[in-house]
Amino acid sequence: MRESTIMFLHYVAAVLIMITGLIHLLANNDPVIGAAIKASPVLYLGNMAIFLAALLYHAFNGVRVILIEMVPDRCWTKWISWAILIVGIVTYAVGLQVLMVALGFA
Amino acid sequence: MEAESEFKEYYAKNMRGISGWFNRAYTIERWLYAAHRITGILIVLFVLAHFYSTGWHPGLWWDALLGIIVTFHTANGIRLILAELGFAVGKPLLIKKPSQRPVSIEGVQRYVVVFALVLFVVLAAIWAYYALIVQPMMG
Repeated sequence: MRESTIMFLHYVAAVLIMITGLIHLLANNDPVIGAAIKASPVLYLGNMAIFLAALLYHAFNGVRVILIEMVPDRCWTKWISWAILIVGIVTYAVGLQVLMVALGFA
Repeated sequence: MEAESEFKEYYAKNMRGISGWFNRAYTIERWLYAAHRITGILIVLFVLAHFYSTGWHPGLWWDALLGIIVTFHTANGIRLILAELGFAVGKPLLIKKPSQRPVSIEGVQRYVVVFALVLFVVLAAIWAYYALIVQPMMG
């Protein structure tokens, strides 16, 4: 994927984090709004699935950008990118399972 | 001459590492950039701990500090997205004298910087209210 596409998705993920992260914060910190949000566990799980995906993409891409700026070498850049991608996918798979257990779906 | 071209190439490649994030010659945007990176790395560390033992939080006053870190990253991130998409960027300023301080951007971008900083303070205050007053009441 082109670097400009990756960075555009980085900003899309940022906007998604702002929306879903706000819902996550309200659900766990505001007694009134939190109860209303957690009234439908399926929707909240969907929110958390989107939040987790966007957060992991944004976080791991941020780390990748810093790393490849430290090591501006084409070969290293390629390996760093693949390693980060694989670690990110594994973290998402494990994270979804943990979320489903924590929210009482499994 | 040889040394100078090597020096320029070294800077062009941005090979200064982490020390390159902090350069006194730059403008406030550069400081915001350094702070954005540092807060970003701190948030990643928090998120990893938050995942590893599910729902972990540092606790009362540290939660307020976490709020400062996260809300700064959010507010400055909004400014960065606007700049990236070409909104409210302003014109580049012509440097007329060598003694003139380097100002990369003039006009609207100044107001966006102020807006981001004000938004940061407001969001951090709201977060601190929830961390220090609402959370202890919830138990």
